[in-house]
Amino acid sequence: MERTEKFIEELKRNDVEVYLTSRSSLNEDLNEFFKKQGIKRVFVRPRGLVNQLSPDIEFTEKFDEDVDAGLSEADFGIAYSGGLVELAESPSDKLPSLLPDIHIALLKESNILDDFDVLFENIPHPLPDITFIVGPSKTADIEKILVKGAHGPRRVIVFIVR
Amino acid sequence: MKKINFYENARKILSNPTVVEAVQKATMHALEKRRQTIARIPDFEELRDKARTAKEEILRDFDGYLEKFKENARKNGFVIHEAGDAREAREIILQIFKERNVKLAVSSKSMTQEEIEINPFLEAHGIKKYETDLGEFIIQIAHQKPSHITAPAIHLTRREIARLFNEKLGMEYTEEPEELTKFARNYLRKKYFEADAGMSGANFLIADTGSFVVVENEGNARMSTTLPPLHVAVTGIEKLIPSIKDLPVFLKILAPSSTGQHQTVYTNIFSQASKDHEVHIVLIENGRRRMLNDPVLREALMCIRCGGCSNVCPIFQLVGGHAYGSVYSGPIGIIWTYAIFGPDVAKELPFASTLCGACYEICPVRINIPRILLELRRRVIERTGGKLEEKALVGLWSQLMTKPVLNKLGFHLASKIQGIFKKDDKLTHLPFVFSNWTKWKDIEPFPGKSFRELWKERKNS
Ligand code: SF4
Repeated sequence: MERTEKFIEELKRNDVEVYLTSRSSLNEDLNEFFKKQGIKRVFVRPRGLVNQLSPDIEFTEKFDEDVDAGLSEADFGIAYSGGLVELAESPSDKLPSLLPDIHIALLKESNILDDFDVLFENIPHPLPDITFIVGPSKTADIEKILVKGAHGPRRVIVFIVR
Repeated sequence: MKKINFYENARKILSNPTVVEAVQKATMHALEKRRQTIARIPDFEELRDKARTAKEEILRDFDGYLEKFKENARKNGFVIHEAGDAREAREIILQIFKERNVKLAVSSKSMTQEEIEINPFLEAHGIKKYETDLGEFIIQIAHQKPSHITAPAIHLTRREIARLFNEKLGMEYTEEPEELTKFARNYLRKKYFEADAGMSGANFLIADTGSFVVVENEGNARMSTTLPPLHVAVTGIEKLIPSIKDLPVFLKILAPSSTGQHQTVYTNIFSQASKDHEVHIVLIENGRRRMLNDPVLREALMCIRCGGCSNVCPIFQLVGGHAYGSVYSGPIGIIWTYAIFGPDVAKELPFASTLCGACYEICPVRINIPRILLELRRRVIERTGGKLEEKALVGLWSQLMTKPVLNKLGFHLASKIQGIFKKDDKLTHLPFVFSNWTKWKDIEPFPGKSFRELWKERKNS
């Protein structure tokens, strides 16, 4: 799909690592990824796709020092910016994509939108809190030198689920 | 506030080549990135028009939209406070903090907070507030002021920062930006969790949903607004936009005009509050209503604080933000400083411009900054009874600028700018400003002609 391609192109431009998968192989692909990266403990807010996972690793709903990565389901993707959209009903919903060094987001391909406009026309009211995430957290405040992982994640990984 | 001595400040800064070079590097970097990014946004000019139209709509019915915002924000559960001036704003914030026994606060970058000078005030009342944006954090521990709107610590070298972290925070000495960033990250991580309150500014106030928006790259605003149980957003009333449907347009022009990024890493849209997570919005008037009622100054209320006009301004590129002696620097900063702190404080500032038009050209919401600066010059001259003052100011200016070194530097910058803008952009006349300093001195600082006429004349000469 053209939209998905554009989205992936923008994600890569934003230093996001992208994996394409399907519902049936999501578990397997994630497990393989965790294994390869040495990820053993994952911080989550369970819902949607996440609930259907049966990983070989430990899921925790509390953040602590031993967490290797955060896992969240992005509600939408924006092809225009390569941005992930997270809707939060409470502040704690925002934490898996914020606190750990690595953020892994799952996204249904059907939830990739062309542009922001489509999002704001379709979003339910009253509005939840909305966060757009465009790549890893970064700063260039010291002599304009780019450093990834300023206060948030150093790496952002997206699994697009077909 | 005391009168700002722009020329004196500028001369001091110009004697420090490190600062001059750093500012050049930062501004050129942003402009070059902007050029590359805009090449990927084919409808950028239309987006600017749309943003302008949305801001014009706000000015058309300012009170209507402000009321609408407040009403909808309250429906979202936000507590709305209104401050007429900086003192009132400080008292309101202190009151909120006192009622909730706040001792420690973390904050993301906010020019409005700087404007009301909240930090020393809170400190005096026993409340410690940490700046969490890396650049702001650095200048906070250095006890300095931001020198650039999007790169507040750009005047400091990594060596100076290394020494600072070593002496003030006990970090093992290293000049590695990666290590320095990591240290600040860990240092502030603890504070987010310990803090009783988080503070932020706001980039946009959305009238039809009562939401507000904070954009950032580091994640420090997300931390500050998520982890503590209380979020206090401090914002000027001019940040209004009519509808959430207008937000895409603003998001598409803001980052490219500012840091030259396509989008900032994080865009945070807040529309929710709860018992466990209170959200307060402190709306600050502080001179803005005066601007609204002023036929010439009101246009400046459209400013979205991108900093683009600073980056492109040949004067700013030379002297950086500190010379302006105010929280708001660069071309639009002159106007804001004049409007907020008054003509006596800001009387030198309107003359700190070449009127080359680069700011007008780059401004994403097309604010005609040179026109406003000309009007401010007229007002300053009128207030001070004319001639003498005018001559003195121009005199100072030329004194500063005729030094051969500066001329060279100016010319060097100008030719860089020329390279940055495409040929069909109207900015190719810029180097003229620099190669003709002597001619420039002959130009009346306030001619009886409009800016456009003046522009035409200069182009033809
Ligand atoms: S005046 Fe225009 S260019 Fe300058 S900061 Fe404001 S919006 Fe940006």
